[in-house]
Amino acid sequence: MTVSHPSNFAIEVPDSLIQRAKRGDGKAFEQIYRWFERPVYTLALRLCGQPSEAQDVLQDAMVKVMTRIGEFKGHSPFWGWLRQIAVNEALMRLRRSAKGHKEEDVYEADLPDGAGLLPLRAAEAGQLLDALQTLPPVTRSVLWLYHAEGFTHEEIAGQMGKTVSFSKSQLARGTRKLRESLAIDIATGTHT
Amino acid sequence: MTDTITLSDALRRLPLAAPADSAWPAVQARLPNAPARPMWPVAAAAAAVLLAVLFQFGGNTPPTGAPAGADGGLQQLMARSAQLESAFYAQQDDGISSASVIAANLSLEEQLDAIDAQLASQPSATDARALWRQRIELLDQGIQLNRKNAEYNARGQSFELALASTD
Repeated sequence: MTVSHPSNFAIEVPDSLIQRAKRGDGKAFEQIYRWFERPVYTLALRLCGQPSEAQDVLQDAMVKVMTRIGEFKGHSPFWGWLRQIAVNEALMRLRRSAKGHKEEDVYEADLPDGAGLLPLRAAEAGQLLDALQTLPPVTRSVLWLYHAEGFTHEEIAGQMGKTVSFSKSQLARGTRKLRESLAIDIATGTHT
Repeated sequence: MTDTITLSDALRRLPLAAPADSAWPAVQARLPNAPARPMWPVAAAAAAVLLAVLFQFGGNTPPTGAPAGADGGLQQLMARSAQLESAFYAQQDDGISSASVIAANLSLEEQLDAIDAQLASQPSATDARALWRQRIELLDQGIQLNRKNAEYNARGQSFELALASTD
């Protein structure tokens, strides 16, 4: 797995704590839960969009982490292993809630250079969160997994059961729509 | 020239969201063996036997420190407790513990939880000092237990069998 950006999940968990959790130590489980509660919930909220769904994802993902911790071999960071479980849970819930709705799979051309840059004043948290909420869930998920979590298009495509071009197209679409919501001219990059 | 930020940085700088309610109680309830409470009678019995035998052993285990804060103030007691707690959890890293030692440690943790609950209820200064002393004593016992266990493990022997053969 390639991780190009630091993630909110990038918390170094001491091996001693993981070993205690593997032995069934409830306190160790609780400590792990406390550390990762907000990163998991945030990821789930960004992907699924609704607090109630994010709460369910948080619960299901954490139960899986605790019951499968014996399968963690320590070849990669624990946080990456835990994050993958959270991503899978969130995407599974997203697929379930999207059933019956045809996902718009239009091809979107690559964006011009610099489209991934925002004017600083357009990146205010409240404004950006509102703009994210206007995106379709799948588009928002691709955007979040790529930009905030640092997954590659190949990884996103694999997780979503789609093609790499689907991931690229959704990213371009998401970036374009986000910039529109933030009233940023796509060609000039100016904030109107 | 307009100051800019990458979309990646802008998204990663967004504040983390927090759930309205902790999911921990629900997670804990769904874990197959996790809630320690139902295991209490078994763990308590194992711990009681193990600790009783350990402390009949004959006092050749050095205490982990001075009878800390026996007459000291609350702050010293709390500091000593924190110091021992850190040592207690650090000991549980070797991964070689018998079921009884693990049960004893879990039992000690439960007793610590019970003390913490009493401390959280704002006891009087006298009661608080007594509770912190109990906490220190429990942690001290736990450290001695794990130290013995580690000594036997280092010699390739079973601490449990050694305890069983003392009488």
